Amino acid sequence: MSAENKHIVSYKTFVSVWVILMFLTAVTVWIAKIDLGFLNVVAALTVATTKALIVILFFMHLKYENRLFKISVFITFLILAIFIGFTFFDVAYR
Amino acid sequence: MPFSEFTTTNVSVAVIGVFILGFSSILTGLNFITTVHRLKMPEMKWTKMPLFVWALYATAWIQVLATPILGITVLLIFVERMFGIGLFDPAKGGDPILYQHLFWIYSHPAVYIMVVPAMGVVTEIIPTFARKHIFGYKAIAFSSLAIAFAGSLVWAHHMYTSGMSDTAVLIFSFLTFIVAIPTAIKVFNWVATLYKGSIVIEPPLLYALSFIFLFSIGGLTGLILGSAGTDIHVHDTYFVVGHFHYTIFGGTGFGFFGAMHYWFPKIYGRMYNKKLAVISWAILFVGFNILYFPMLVIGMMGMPRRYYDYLPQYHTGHLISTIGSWILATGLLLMFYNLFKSIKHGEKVGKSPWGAATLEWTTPSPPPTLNFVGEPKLTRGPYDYKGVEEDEQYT
Amino acid sequence: MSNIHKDYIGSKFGMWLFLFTEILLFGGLFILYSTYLHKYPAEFHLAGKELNVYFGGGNTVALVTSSLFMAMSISAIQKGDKRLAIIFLGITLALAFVFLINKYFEWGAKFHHGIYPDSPTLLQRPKGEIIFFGLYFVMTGLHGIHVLVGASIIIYVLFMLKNEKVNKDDFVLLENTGLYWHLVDLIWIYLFPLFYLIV
Repeated sequence: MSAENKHIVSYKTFVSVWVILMFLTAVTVWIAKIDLGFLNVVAALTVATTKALIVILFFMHLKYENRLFKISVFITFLILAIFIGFTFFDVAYR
Repeated sequence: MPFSEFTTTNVSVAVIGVFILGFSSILTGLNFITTVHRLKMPEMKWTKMPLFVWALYATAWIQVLATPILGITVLLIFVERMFGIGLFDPAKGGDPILYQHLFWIYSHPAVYIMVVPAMGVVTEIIPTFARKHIFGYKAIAFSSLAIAFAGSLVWAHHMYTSGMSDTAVLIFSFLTFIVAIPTAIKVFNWVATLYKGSIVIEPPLLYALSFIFLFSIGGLTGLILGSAGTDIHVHDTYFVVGHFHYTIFGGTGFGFFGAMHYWFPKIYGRMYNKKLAVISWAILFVGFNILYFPMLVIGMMGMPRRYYDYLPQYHTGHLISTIGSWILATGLLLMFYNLFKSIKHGEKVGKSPWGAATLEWTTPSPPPTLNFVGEPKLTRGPYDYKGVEEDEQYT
Repeated sequence: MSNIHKDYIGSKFGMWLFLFTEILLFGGLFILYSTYLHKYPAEFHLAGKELNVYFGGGNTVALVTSSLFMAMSISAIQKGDKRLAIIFLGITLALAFVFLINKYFEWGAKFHHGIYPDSPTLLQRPKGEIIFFGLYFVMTGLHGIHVLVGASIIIYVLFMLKNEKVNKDDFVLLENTGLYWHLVDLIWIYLFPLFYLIV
């Protein structure tokens, strides 16, 4: 196998990422205890998406992959967002 | 609640079958995307790829991104039948219309999985027999991707009468018209390619031309169904049956037949009986229209789908349709007879019976193991016909 | 065949494409979740309170940590440290089982209280709560199956590491397993707040 695309991520980076993820987990549990109404949903999903992004970029190495990988991931989430969002054209206006 | 969840027939086994089939569709798409990205020869730039490959690439993305929604839908049918969770059962708080959403989120893109490769075939056949560079290469390549993308925006146009919100009807109706744009781009480019070409009428071209004709009827009747106002009147009538046969049989079917006649000599190294091929095409084409056109008419008159019986006023239409079906079947039998017989007994051909410019016509027919003798060289664009080597007996 | 062709990027890209299908498979369920949350916000609020945040939170810690060790296992094999790679992967596997055992007790407690799909107790509740628990069992159940599949693949890769079929120069199998495992983690990252926190 050639040496192409063989980026080694250090243990230190991974552990820092893990610390951030743990911190965000604590934050999301903490926010959920405060009653913000609908904003609770927004807050929880914002934190979850931040965590997801960190997992994708670092644990899943997407940060170190080429453009093709990044565009494909974006398109996938775009399509998922369309599927969920467009369904709301129906359910939100019934 | 969806019928499939409580019917006493053994739907559970069938949906597992569908789930496994879904895997095969997904893995095909996965393979094609990865192959296009990773296994192109170095000189084969994206704009040097045959447009058929572009079409397959766009299709493959639909397969990967839409099929899983079918997967979860059939999985939910299975789980509902086993455990009675009630996600689509109004008695337990479920919403049956959501089942329809899930079903059509996949099943609308599914028809593009069927028809986009056929469009790719037509895009190969037309320049070959017009001896002319394809008109609007980039527009055609882009329109394949655009159809694939637009296919994910329009699913609820199958649901105008389901009881979903009027807002959704309005928006999905509007979005549906967007699909007509890339489709029309393709049709105009095909016609422009034919214009002033030195056209050679051969069986594959006849199928490609009938594709354009039949698919245009299918597409234009689709616009009638896509506008919510008119759809209400013809929903669940024979008009819909006529429409989708014009798109899927007239489109996918004729594209597929065209592909068989185009690549047959490459696959088997032999040529079928061309005269018989033209005759069977003519019977097929006539039979097709006699079978499906009356459906559009009686659909407009109000003949509903999925009934085995009908009122007297629809009799003539059904009669004509039935006669058409016999003609169509005759054409199909003749076509397959010709092809199967020629596998063993057809006249031998060389590398390039049509004088096409794409790479597969530079290797012997049938191609050897690993497709090429030695490393192939890309010396021309896929539609660059200047100085193409063509078999002697066919020039 | 003598000319074995190994395409490292192609192999990984294929895996990513497969993950896209997984994302959309769960995506179908997220469509249902979001529309039912829209339809029954109050019932989801009440039913969600019955789920134990400590079970959910504990499992989040277990999965995220397992993802960390999975990622470090790949770094280890890239550096050629076979022993460390096996240890890290072993920890990942152990945490997968922690997750599943935790889940077993959590579901078991619900079953004990008569809450399971189509149960008489559940059917007496408001419709929104029936749907909430229906989604809870379907989504965490499908996720649980993925954890189980992931764990099985990890066991297989452990053997491959031991046999040096996966090594410093050819570790794409481990990397793709890692991608799958992180996806399982990714889905849990959404399931956790949606079921345990949005109450």
